[in-house]
Amino acid sequence: MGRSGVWRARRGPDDQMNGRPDGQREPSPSEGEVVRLPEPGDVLDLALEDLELVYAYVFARVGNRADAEDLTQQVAVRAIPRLRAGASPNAIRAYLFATARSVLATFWSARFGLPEEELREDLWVEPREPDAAGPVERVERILDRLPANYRKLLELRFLRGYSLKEVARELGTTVGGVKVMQLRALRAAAKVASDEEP
Amino acid sequence: MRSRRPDEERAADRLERLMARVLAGRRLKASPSDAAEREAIVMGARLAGSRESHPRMSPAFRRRLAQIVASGAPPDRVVSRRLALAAGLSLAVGTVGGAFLERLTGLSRLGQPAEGSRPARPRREVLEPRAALGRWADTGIHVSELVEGVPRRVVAGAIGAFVVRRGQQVIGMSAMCTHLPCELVWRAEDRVFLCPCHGLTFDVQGQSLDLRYPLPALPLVRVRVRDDGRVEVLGT
Repeated sequence: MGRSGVWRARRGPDDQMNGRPDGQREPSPSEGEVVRLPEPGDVLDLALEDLELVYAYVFARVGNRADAEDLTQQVAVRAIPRLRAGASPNAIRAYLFATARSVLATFWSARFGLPEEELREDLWVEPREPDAAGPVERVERILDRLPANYRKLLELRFLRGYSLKEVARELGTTVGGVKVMQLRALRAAAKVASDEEP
Repeated sequence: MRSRRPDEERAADRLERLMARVLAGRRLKASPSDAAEREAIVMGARLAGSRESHPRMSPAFRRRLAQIVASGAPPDRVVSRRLALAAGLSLAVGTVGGAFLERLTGLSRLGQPAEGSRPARPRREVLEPRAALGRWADTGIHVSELVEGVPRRVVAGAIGAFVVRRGQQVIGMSAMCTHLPCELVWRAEDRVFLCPCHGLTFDVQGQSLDLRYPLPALPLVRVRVRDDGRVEVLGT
């Protein structure tokens, strides 16, 4: 179906715009129906723009395009069929971000082999709403609270794209020393972030 | 600097390997053995993610998402970015079709299988060149020269394709692998299309034969048979 097609949305008792997007109850096909929205083109554009925001949200947390695209697609596949026709743009966006948080939790849970609940307790420091400040501003806030050598190392390595050797040369140390300092700096930054984003 | 312990150096080495991948734009390959350093790893990913203040989806990925949104239905399975990329590349070079051998005066309608034929497999790409660019190219092949189930390589402008006779139909499909844009070759002894880049194979219908990593089917290319029996392909 092309762009001129309809937006299919399921209506049913489980169709909630808020709450856990990956709930156990899934409406059966018989419960669903196809709803033709008045202006499908507008809705499509709206959803795509929201997914752009979801993509940026995910990219800011996984740091690479490959994972960000996979996760954004998972959000679309999971959330779009459950959107209720006639829902407000704010409700649609809230549901997409709720789904994105759930998908991200599953992503980290699978990577570290830990239950999502445990990650939420000691790692999952995501704000409930889309970032008020951009990811760059939030990272800068964190870096500002680090010791100067940690801050410099992280800026060179992550924000300016220096290689380990270049960072070592800049800091007057060895590559091995930079690796260990990088570990300590990231631990310190994570501690700052968890203190700042309870 | 504080003195370094061997276990800390090992952790630092491992963290650096993970971060080097992410900073190179590759996937985060953390595993359960990395759980002890999860806070540092997640923070590293966040720092890497802050390199772009306003990250935007690539045009190809946005098109794919648009398809999902427009259809409102998830694909049969969650297609990885890699597969989606491969499919997107394929779309650029192929469109669909099938044609009756019997006296065609017009074209078979896109996406509608010929009467009595197998229904089209779900999600096989059905596209055609833009009207302004599309033109029918004579392949120089007479339909009587086509042997059942033996593909012939043809070129129609920018589109490379295989045409194959299947019963009373002539089917055309893209000659480009749906994994990466490598041109397929027909291996008659194995009766498969082989991708010389990575060794992936497709059957004579254009369906992926790799069960571990199935790829999208080869996009169909529109074919017709003229009254005089010459096979034409819609190309550019």
